[in-house]
Amino acid sequence: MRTLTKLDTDSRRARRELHDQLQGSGPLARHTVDSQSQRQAGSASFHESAQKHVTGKAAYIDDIKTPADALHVALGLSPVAHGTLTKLDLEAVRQAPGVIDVITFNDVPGHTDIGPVFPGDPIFVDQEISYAGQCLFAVAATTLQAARRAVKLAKLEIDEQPASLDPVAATEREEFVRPTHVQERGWLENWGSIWKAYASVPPAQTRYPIHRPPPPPAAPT
Amino acid sequence: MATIEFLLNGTPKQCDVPPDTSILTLLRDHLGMTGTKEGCASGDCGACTVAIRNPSDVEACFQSINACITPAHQLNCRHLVTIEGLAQGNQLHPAQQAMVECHGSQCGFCTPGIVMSLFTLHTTQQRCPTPLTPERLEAVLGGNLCRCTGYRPIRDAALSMQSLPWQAPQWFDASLPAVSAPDPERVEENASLFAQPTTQDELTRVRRRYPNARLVAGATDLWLENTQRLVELDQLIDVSRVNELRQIEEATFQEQSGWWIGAGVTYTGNIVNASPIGDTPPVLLALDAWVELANADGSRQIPLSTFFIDYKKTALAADEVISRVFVPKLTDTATLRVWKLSKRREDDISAVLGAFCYHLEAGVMRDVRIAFGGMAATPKRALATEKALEGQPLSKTSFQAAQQALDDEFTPMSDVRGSQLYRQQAARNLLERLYLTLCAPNQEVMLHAYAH
Repeated sequence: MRTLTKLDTDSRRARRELHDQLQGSGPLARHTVDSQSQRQAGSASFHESAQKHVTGKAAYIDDIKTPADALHVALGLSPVAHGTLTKLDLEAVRQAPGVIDVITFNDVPGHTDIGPVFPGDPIFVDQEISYAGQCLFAVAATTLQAARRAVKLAKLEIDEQPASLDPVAATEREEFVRPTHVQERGWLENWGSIWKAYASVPPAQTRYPIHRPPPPPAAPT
Repeated sequence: MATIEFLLNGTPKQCDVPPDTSILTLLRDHLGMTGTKEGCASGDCGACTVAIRNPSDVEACFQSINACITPAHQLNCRHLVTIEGLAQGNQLHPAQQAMVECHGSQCGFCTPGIVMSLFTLHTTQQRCPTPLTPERLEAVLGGNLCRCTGYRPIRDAALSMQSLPWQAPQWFDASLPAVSAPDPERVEENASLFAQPTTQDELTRVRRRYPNARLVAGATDLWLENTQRLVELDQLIDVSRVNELRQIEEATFQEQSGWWIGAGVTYTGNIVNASPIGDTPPVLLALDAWVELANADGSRQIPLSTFFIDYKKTALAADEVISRVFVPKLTDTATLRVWKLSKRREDDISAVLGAFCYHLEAGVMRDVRIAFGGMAATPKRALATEKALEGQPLSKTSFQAAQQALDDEFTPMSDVRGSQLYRQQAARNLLERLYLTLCAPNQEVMLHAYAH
């Protein structure tokens, strides 16, 4: 919010006026509950990990002690959002101090598409680069610093293409992530048989309560 | 390798680590203390906040610092307090207790840093209680980002922690036996080095002996070369303990009285760093400041406007340091206006910064000095723009001429902070803002509210 303000009253006054709105004028959060009635509806409990958070004892993945011989992995990422990878020269990366191994798309023996629901999420770039930061290769080294430094030695050649950054223009070009589908209400040819199937299941045999659909509407005449 | 001797949560410690080790790396990787978190690794988010104090200065309070960009060797003879040190057994420190009671943590990753900022506030309040105004809380917590809890419960914790009972543990005031630092002059010229001279004489001698060493004080920019660009910094000279560089005085310079003279260490770093988007250089240029460059043989004084030569290139010779900055005090009739344009109000680098110094004499602009940051490869005086305004009446025409001159004399670059067009337009608009401000002296364009 950019406005003209009288200087004779000074910016402090404007700040004061907005103070309650900026900072909130209600009571302290801890005063809004009766601490005697813990663990009841309408009362607050402390975060179960709060003590660990405030003492630094909450262990995150990065805090787990690594074995003495653990290798550290750093990833080589695409610097461009869209293009074709035409050359990936990792010789200098392999030769860098501390590097144990370097892998690319061609080193993955099993599935290379790790899309959990639909295909379309390659674990490494084969040729087509579809977003900035897409993974090109991985380096394992004796220290994280060695792995990160080695990544910088890769020689990349990319045939860069324009990035798709405008959703409206992308829709016009029909650049869809997934095939389009349509949801609509109306008469379903086999409505009657679906309802019959639902209605015929005895309640005792269902693991979950079945929400029974209403009887089928009359077919259009 | 070089040895650091310091106190860690009241216990004396000795560590041998390379010169470019940060306090965070020392804690997490070398000492296995993982309570302090690495968030951004660039001094922006505050997840790694720790508290540090000089135990030999009884007056000194703990100060919050970002462990990720502070050299571990600056801990020499200092007391470092981390999140692991606050609780005594099961007894939480008030900063911790209040954060629990006010529901101040959610994912908890920023929490250790926030607790440490509150800890330094708590110890400062214990020594010298002062009202916790919103401005003060902003200053204390402005360097700590939280992306899930929100700041209100954290503010509540800050406001309520003082009322919780607390007794300072004995180790709080622990002192360190005197440490004998190795004589940097006896270290091999190519060996790794972290020198901590205490006098300017020592500093200039070490500078001459190690021309490839980098100077460090606050490390806010230098350390990013290590954490982001992975550059090895194996020879460092810490200027933060040089006595002469810590003084500021009012004195006569160039046969004129009323100059502020001093160095102020990290302030000088902001100049010598020569970033085109540093905050203070355009201001100092508009004030017509001078700098003194010293080496082991002597010193020379030059106007700051001749100091910046090209992108990150300055008049400083390999064996020289900035020993003093000379800043003229504004005369009673002169005005200095500075506007910084950045994407966030706190903790951000400017896209464009304009500094305007002038005085109005019967409606005519006099002694106009204008400087910009973000408009060229160096912080730069806008000489043609100044000329367009000098001696001119306060009028739309003269400011339009100045805007035209500004367009002609600057060709800014496009980068992540702003395109060339944006920068040109923004700089023109700052001149427009100056004109509007001068036309209506009791009105000012300002930013009231901002998004957190």
